[in-house]
Amino acid sequence: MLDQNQAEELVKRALSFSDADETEVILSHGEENLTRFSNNIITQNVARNTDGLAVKVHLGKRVGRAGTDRFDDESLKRAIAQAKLAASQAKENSELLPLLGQGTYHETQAYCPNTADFGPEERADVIAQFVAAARREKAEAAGIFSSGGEAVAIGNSRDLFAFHRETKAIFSGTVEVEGASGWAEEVQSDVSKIDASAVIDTAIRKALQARNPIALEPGPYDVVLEPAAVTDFLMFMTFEGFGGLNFVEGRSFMSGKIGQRVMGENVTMIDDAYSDLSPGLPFDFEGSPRQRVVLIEKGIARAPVHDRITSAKVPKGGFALGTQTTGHSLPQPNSSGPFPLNVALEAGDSSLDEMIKTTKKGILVTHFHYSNVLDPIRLTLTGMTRDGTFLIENGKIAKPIRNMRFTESVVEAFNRIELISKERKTAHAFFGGAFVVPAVKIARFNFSSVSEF
Amino acid sequence: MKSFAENAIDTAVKLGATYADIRIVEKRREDILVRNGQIAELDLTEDLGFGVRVITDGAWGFASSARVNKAEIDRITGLAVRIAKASARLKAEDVRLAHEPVWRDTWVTPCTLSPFDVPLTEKLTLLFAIDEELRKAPQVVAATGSMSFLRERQWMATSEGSFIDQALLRSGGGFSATAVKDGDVQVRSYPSAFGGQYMSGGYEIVLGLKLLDHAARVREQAVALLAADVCPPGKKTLLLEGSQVALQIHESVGHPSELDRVLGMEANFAGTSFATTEKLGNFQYGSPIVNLVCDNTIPGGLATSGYDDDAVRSQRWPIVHEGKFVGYQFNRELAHRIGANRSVGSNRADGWSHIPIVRNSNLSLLPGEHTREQMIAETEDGILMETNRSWSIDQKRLNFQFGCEVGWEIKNGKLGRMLKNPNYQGITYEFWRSCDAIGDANHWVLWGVPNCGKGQPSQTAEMSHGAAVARFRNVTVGVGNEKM
Repeated sequence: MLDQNQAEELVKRALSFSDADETEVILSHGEENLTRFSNNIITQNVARNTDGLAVKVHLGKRVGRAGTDRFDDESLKRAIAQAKLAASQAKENSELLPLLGQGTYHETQAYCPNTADFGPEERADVIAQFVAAARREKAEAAGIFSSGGEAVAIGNSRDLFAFHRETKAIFSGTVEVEGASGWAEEVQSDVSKIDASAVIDTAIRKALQARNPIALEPGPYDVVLEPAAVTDFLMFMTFEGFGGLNFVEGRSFMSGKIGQRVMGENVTMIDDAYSDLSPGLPFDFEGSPRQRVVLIEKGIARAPVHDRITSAKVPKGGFALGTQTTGHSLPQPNSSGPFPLNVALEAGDSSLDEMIKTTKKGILVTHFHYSNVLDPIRLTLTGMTRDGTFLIENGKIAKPIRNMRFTESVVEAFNRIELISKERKTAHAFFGGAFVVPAVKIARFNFSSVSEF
Repeated sequence: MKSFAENAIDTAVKLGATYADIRIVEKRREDILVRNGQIAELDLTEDLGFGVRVITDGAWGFASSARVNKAEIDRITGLAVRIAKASARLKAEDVRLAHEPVWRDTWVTPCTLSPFDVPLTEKLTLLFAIDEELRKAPQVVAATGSMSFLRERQWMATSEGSFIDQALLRSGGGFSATAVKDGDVQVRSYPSAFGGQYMSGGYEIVLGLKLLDHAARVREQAVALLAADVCPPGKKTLLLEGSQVALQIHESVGHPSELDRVLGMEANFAGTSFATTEKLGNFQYGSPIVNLVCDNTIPGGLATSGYDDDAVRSQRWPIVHEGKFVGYQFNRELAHRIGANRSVGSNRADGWSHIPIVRNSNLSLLPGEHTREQMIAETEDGILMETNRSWSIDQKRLNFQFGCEVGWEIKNGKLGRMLKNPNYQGITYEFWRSCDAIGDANHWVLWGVPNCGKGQPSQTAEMSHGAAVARFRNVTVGVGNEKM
């Protein structure tokens, strides 16, 4: 995988070809090795190697950007010429800010050579274990084992240079037996930390338990959400609520609410790229150091994340924010504003077992499928349960149930969280992004309809 | 490029591959976005790379790289063979590819005006004019207008002897206004949501949209929605404008008819399908007036090309005929699973770096016989919904819930008050069976979906769905709106 020296050479060589007023280069490199299986066989097996170099130039207050994936001198010069062409034909951008000088960044331990070198034979071996276990239960296994990483570097004509690389291994599996399904997943930077047996055993156990589901009437139920189910909520909070542009334009549930209670007292959410559970990029796409930001503290809205542009804007209502960039900028300019990339819901002191034991009648959810936003301010979402949904009665998992659709304001639901687990894990949301999440129990969560399976 | 391609095939065969193909793809993109009076995107991107796919020891391997040179092609081809051998450790039977004639051909998307010949200043002038119009209302906090153009040149060679050189072009654009007041956010878009309307072709497509002509109306409607009544919950007759029917087709007919999904190959991510193979030919998917046809030859379709990424010639075939489920979308590998002798040509990859997988084709609802006015006049108690705002469907493609930007109440045959937060929920086949009127050819538009995600690793494909306004009876609407 690309290393810092190689990245620095390339970035500086590209910059040397530009005579624009200001020039910025963002280099990306990805290696994605993924073995996919279904019906107990390997169906797809790929090794993707991608490169990209985006160059942005300022000509006064005009800006243009071009990209290439070829790094010979001629291609780099052409990309710069294209960026200058775009800038020369653009209108002036009144929000355009000068590029930043060198920052100080704290490294995050996100790269592991084991993961980068994990090959197709080793992935096949793990999958073979899964398939063998599934076959013993007369079940079928589907899923992925992915190992790879990415590197990103940013440099500019003010001598800023920053480099980061990270690896990621994902083992995810769905087991189907007699029309029922169960699922489990684990994500780690270090592939050797993946507990494949735990993933396999959990997916099989859930599938076996999920056979012959009954139909439950739609309505409000106490719900116990495993960590993967919580991730969808955090993902939509990230894109609809925690970004500085949504906030200043009045489109966030936090708009006008800083310092006010928006969630339960037991809810604290932080964006932290330096967490051991989900280490991330220590700088943003302008080269600002990424800060740890307390988004929600004991239910009180504290702050969204900002870039230099959003932090300077006065929101509707008239009070000045008086804050600086938090180091969450996407490549500038952009249309979406800054976002947190490493959101974590702080742990509580409970456990999944306790949540189940304390539930007289409720629903246990493994994860959700295809959730989406109905109302961005109340953050009303709708989505389906999948791969292991169970009725809890009198403190025990009583029966499997057919999958249900929820329609609920998750901001309001986070005011009704009764328990949060002490144990947390890194999990993916359906549409992407990694979050550090515990299990939670929420009172009176609304399920609006039921499916046929 | 031809010599690179031949080199890859030769290397793969020497290493023991029984089938090999290579796609060398060169992309050129231009993405422009203006937001609140500023240029938020002005990106000119070029991209070149290749992907090699092999069958060795009866199983697939794939590898890709951005470095197009002989040494790298040899390395990547060797890696693809190594990966295939690893895949072969867990197979049930050798991969079988349906027969396809050998093709040596070129194909180019027809266009009248290349978007890359139109000056950036001209495009920006149009987008800024739209922006200015949208922001005449203070309640509009975000005005976004965009255009995007993509030219993709692909050279594909197979070990069977096919060599296909295609140049695909697609263009489009659109805009939206987001209005905010007292914690309420409303959006109106034109010609459709999430970036607008896209078709294969050149800048003539953008000119044909007449974007600026609609900017004032979109602004006015976004503001009006803030004061509109909330769509009431209940059971109603539902009329959907064409772009929303297109989304309905995509999610509840297109995806469930992808054969790889039916056979469980997407089980871990996007799910499976209720449209299992025993239903083929004997399941009532919709009412007798519902006819849904795939057509990858249709002019203007985003999936329209000469050949797919299996080197299969593009075709037209039915999925639902007079309400009955009659067809799937599939590739060479899966054809034999339903007794088909030939692929229908539905295998496509997102560029060079991804492996081809079964993708939604240009799947359209054939026009009916009603005019929009007739449909409204015949409706006693209904809601007309327009422009998608949200979508959610279960992993077997049965229970869905979709939201639109705007609705209008229909009472006793007349359009009435505007409604905000309209949404509707249903079970796929019950919904299509309740369809009792479809707009005629005068109302039919080929709507583009440029951002369909599928697969692991995730990849994006583009396709079109032709649709006119359509009516559905006794549909649950306004889910969750009791609290508003």
